[in-house]
Amino acid sequence: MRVNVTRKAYGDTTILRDFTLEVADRERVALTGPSGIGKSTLLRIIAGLDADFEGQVTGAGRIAVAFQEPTLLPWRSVRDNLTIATGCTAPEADTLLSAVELPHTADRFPGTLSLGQARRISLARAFAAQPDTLLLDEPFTSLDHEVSARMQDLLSALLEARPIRLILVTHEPAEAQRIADRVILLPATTA
Amino acid sequence: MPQKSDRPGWQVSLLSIGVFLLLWALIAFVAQSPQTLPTPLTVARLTIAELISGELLHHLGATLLRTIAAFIIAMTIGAAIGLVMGTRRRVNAWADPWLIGLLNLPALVTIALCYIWIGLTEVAAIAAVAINKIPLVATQMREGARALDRSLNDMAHVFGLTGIKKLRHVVIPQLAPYFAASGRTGLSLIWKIVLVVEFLGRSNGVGFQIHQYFQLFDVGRVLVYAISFIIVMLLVETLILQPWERRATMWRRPDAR
Repeated sequence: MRVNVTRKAYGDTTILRDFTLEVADRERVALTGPSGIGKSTLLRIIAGLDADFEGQVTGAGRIAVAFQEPTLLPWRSVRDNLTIATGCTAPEADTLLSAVELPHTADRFPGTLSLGQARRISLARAFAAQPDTLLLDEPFTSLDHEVSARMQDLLSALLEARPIRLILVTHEPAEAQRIADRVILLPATTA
Repeated sequence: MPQKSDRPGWQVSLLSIGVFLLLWALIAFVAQSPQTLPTPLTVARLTIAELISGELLHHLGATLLRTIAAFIIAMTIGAAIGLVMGTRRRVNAWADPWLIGLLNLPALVTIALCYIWIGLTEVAAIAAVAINKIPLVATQMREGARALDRSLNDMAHVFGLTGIKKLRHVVIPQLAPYFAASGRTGLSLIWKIVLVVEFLGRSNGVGFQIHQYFQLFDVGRVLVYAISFIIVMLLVETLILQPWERRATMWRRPDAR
C-alpha cells in the first residue's frame, strides 16, 4: 500500500506536505506525534473520508476503521452493529464478540456499555469486515491503564490470526512500540 | 427494584374527560337551548342513531381514508425534501424561499386552486391536503437532517453502507423523533384540512356531513361527527403512533437491554 500526500490544507493552513508512506502486507505501522500534527487527517485520507487533498492512496484493498469514538449505532443491538455494518453472519459476529471477551453483550444496546467495552465492539466490527488494511485512530485513549493493556493484548491476538496491514494512530509512544513493527514520528515540520 | 413511573396514569386522563363532560352538561343546562348547545346525553343518543343507520361509519371511513392518503403522501414527499435540503446547502439556498412561500400559503387558497385546476375530484382533494402539509414536514425534517451525526455517516461510508441500508439503519433512526413530532402535528392538521376540503367540494365525509347539518342548524349532529372523528384520531394516536414511537426510542430507555 502506498500513500502519497503532496499537500493537504484546511483553508490557508497546510496540514500535510510531501508525505509518503509505504506499508507492506501484514506490516503494522504506528503513526505518532503531538496533537494537531495531521495524524487523524492522514487516517481520514487513507480511509477515503477526505478526498480534498493533493496526492493519492493506492493498494489499500478493503479498509476498516476503528474510530476514536466507537461510532456504534445506538438503536441496534451489539450483534446487529457487526452484521449490519460488515455483512457478516450472526455466528461470525458472536465469534468475534467472544474474541474481544464480550459475548454476553450481543443482545444489548451500545448505550448500556462502558467506553472500554464499546471500543472493543468497535474493534470487533472492524475485524468482522475482514479488511486488508485496518486503521485505528487512538483506540486506547481515555481508557484506564488496565483496560487499555487488555485491549492491546486482544488487538495483538486478533492480528496474529489474520493477514492484515495495520496503521495505528496514537500519541502514546509506548502503545506504538508495543503493537507496531515500525513507528513513524510525524514531525511538526510535516506541514 | 423497578421504579415507579412519574407519568400520570390513564385514570387522570379519564377524570379530566369526566370533568369536561360535566362542565359541558352544566353549561348546556344553564343555557337551556338544546338547538344551540345540546347536552352530552343528547349527543350520545344522536351518535348511537347515526351509528345504527350506518351513516356515521360511512362518512368517518371516507374522511379517514383521505386523511391517511394525504398523510402518507405528505410525510414521504416532505421527508425527502427536508432530507435533501438539510444535507445539501446549495439545494437549501435555492429551495428555502419556495418553502417559506408555501408555508405561508393559506390552506383555503391551495384547496380552491386544486379544485379549479384538477376538478372536484378525489385526487384534487387529497393533493390539496398534502400540499398544505408538505412544507411543514419538510421544515421539521430539514432540522432533523441538519442534526445527523457526522461520525455515523463516516462509519457508514467506511463500511460501505449505502442506499436503502444506510437510510434504514443510520439515517431514519436518527430522524425518528422528528418523524414522530411531524406525524403528530401532521395528523391533527391534516384531518382539519380534510374537513375543509370535504366541506367545499366532496359528497361524503365528516366535512360534508358537517356542511349539511350546519345548513340545517343541527348543532347536535355537527358535534356527533366532530367528536366521533376526534375519537378516531385519538385511537390512531394511542394505538398506532405512540406504540411506534415507544418502539423506535426503546434504545434510549435506561432499562434498555
